[in-house]
Amino acid sequence: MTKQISYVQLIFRQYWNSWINRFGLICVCFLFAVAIFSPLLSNDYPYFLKKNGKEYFPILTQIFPFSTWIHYADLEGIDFKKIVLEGDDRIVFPPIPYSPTEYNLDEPLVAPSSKHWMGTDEQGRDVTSRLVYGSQISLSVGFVAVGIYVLLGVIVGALAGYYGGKVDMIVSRAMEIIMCFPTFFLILAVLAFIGPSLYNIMFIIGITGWTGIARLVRADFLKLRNQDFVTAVIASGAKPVRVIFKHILPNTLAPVMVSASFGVASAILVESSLSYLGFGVQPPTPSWGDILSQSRDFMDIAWWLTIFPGVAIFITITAFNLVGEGLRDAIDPRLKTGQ
Amino acid sequence: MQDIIEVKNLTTELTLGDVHVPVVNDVSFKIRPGEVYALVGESGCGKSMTALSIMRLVPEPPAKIVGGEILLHPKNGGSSNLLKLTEKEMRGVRGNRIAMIFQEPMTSLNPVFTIGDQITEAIILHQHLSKKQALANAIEMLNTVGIPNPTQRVSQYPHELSGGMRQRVMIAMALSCKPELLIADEPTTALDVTIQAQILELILKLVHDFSMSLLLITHDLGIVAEFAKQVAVMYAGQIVEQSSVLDLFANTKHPYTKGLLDSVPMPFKQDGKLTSIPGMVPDLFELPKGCAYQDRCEKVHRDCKEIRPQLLGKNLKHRYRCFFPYAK
Amino acid sequence: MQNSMPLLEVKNLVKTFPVKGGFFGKTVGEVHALSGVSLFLGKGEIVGLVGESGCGKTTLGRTILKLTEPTDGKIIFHGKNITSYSAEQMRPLRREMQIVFQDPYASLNPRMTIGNAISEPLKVHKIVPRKELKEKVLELLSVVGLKEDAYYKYPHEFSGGQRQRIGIARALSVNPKLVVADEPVSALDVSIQAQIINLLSDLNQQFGLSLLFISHDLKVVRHISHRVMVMYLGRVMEVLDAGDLSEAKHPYTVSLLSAVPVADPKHKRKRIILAGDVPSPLNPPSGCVFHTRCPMAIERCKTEIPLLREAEKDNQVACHLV
Repeated sequence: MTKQISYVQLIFRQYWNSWINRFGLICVCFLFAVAIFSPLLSNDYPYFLKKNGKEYFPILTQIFPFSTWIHYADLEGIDFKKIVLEGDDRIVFPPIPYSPTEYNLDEPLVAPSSKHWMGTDEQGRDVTSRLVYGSQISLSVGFVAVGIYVLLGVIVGALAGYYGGKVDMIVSRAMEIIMCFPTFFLILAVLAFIGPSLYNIMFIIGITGWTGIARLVRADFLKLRNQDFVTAVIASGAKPVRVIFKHILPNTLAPVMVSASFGVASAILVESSLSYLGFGVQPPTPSWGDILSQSRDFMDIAWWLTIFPGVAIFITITAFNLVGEGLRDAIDPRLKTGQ
Repeated sequence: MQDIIEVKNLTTELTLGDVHVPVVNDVSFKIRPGEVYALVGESGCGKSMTALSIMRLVPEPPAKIVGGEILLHPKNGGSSNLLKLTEKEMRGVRGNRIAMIFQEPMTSLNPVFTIGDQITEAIILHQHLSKKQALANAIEMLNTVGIPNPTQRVSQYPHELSGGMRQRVMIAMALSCKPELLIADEPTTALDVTIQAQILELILKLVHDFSMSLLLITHDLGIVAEFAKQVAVMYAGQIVEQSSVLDLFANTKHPYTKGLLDSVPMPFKQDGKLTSIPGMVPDLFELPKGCAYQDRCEKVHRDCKEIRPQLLGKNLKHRYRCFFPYAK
Repeated sequence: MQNSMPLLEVKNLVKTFPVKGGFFGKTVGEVHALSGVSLFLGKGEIVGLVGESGCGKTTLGRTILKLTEPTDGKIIFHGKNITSYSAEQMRPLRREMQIVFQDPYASLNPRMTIGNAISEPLKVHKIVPRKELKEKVLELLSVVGLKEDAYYKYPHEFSGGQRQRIGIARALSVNPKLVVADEPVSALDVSIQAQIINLLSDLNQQFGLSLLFISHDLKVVRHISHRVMVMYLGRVMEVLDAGDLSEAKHPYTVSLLSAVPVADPKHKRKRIILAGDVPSPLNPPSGCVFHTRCPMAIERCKTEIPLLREAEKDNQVACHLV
């Protein structure tokens, strides 16, 4: 007979069949890699320095800022870019030898060149570096916010769908009320009160976004709780918590994952918009929306300030939507042949 | 007397990826006027696909009729091969000369039209009657199939009727153009026993009254024994045994037919353990070399694993596809 | 079997389902699924429950297991009156009563391996120590005639008959005293049906398993059961020994029997064909519920409900004419 494969493998195979899905997933993986390794990709501290016969790894002090075991007392206060090399001294910089907050007032608004791949902003900060670090902000907002609302939505939806009756009535009405709010303006208003910060944005998106997931999960639970396999578990004496989380929930997760990947895309977009309006992540923390926001004043002379963050946002949103789209097709039972 | 329909070496293939498997494999049979011919077998044996092939309604793709002939001989002469007709000509055959009723009376009626609308549609299409005449005909048909108060029923919607009533409506629709051949694909499987008895009695009476032929597709050997005259047993797309009903039960040749007969509990005979057929129906995509039934057969022999048996006895009344048939 | 100690006794069980309608979900009617059903099931006995759709046989099975709450009546299981037990009180009892379902495709969780599905009841009741779970599951698989490699497979890799075996293994895992089998073979092909019927028969003989076998197929019920109970529209029409079915007294049982096609072309008999449909359980007929279709109905049947009484030894009938 056929080789045994799990459901996850089956979905993955189905997903990997189309090149556009592969493209989306590769883009997402690339973004993750950039976000995780941004201190290695872009840093004003060199990887390696050999001076006066001594070897240093200065970048480690940046990656592990609180560690006590890497401490180069003799490097303190040194500007690595201006260091003078003699004899067999050597220095190796990361591919982008700037930090996102490192300003250089001698080089404001420099056009893209081999030194600054995507140019600099009005304070002479390297745009490439800011984009690389900005990916951390975008992805963490996307994932933490969506994580919060998926958790909320799954729990609320599961309870409403499983217990039905009054619980369902109350939850459904609550969802309808929340869905009536124009989310973006609600977020703006709340941020105006509690002050703009990365964590507040995550929190606000998280507690306003759960209704979609809850509706999805509730509908699935309503359908599944009367299925024979669920009755069988109840008939074998399992407690409701076990029935809900171990037996029904795994059957609803696939559509939730689809919805979540679209959710990540829209959360990233919301964060960018907020930063653009100045309600987002506060400077000098680099954020894509923030770079775009700066570009407003220099639109006619510094196109690179608009184009590069715009393209970054576009590619990220597209990639997550492609993944969502691909997942949705992959879990579609009509496409499943069981082969 | 000439046969009403003659199916010769019909082969229908199913394609998945680049693999082609015959779901109907070299099937031949003839039905005489007024005769009830039963096609019996388990799910996936190709009996429904055979019916759909005759109607030229196989879902294409993935399935496709790839060979054989289906000759329809009308009473007034002039035979035609259904597989050679254009789609337009075929539409004139479907519903008009060959009609079909399906297993699921719940889904085979359109929920948004009234019963009357659905019956008159076929009548208007094929007999070119006015709407009024067609409705009168429909009411008469409903009366014929034993639906009480037909004048009121024509304006009702399918959900207002019970399963048995819906199947009666389906029969009325099928018979509205007085076809020469009626194909009934598991017409009573979804119904309760007492309703099943009503519907089968009704079909049989109508077949007689309208002097039609009936191709009855079923999995129930009880129905075959009680209602059919000729029978073909199908397994994995092929006919494995073909004879008159009396002969099939009295003089079973093929081990599969015997196995099927033994696994049905008899309502009036003595208890004891049922003889079941071990294993399960083979995957058509992984059919073994040689006989398709070899893995479940009690009489399996070395030859069965090497050579695929042919349907023996070309001109005989009783044909079977087996090297080691049961003796009388 | 009749004299053995009762494992299950059901007395005058009533179950009605409210029908909600209108904007505020008011109760506009009641479906009478069970109207005073009594049942007796001895240890090691197989009782077959037969009837057409809408007769309440499935509801009876589920109410006995307290998967739906009875409206009235008594359920006595193993000497305990469990009628008003709460879900919490029922939980330890669940290991003694199990259920096998009709649809082998809906009764297994598609995301769970067979090993996990079968061991689930064992984990819930902590019957077997964790280390021995797998061993126990493999043993169950071999009892129901499946290979060991099924353990790590998923339901979609099995055919209908094999899934039904898995469902049976799951029910047996906790060594139940009673199994309610709700149309366990109706969705299966004839040749596979026989395998499952034989398996259930064997389990009954080897382990003394008591079985409430629910089916619409009289010939299957007759074959497997010791006693047969015939239901119609929520009421018991007749209870008799399976071997005596051909001498059934109740007109409904008789016509049900005659409606079953016999796989023997030489078998000739008079068919009794019941007219009309089963009436709606929303609005059952007065008097004897069967009178609207009964070929022998008299005036009295329209007004007076016949009681189930002993017509003969081991044969209880609810009919005025017997």
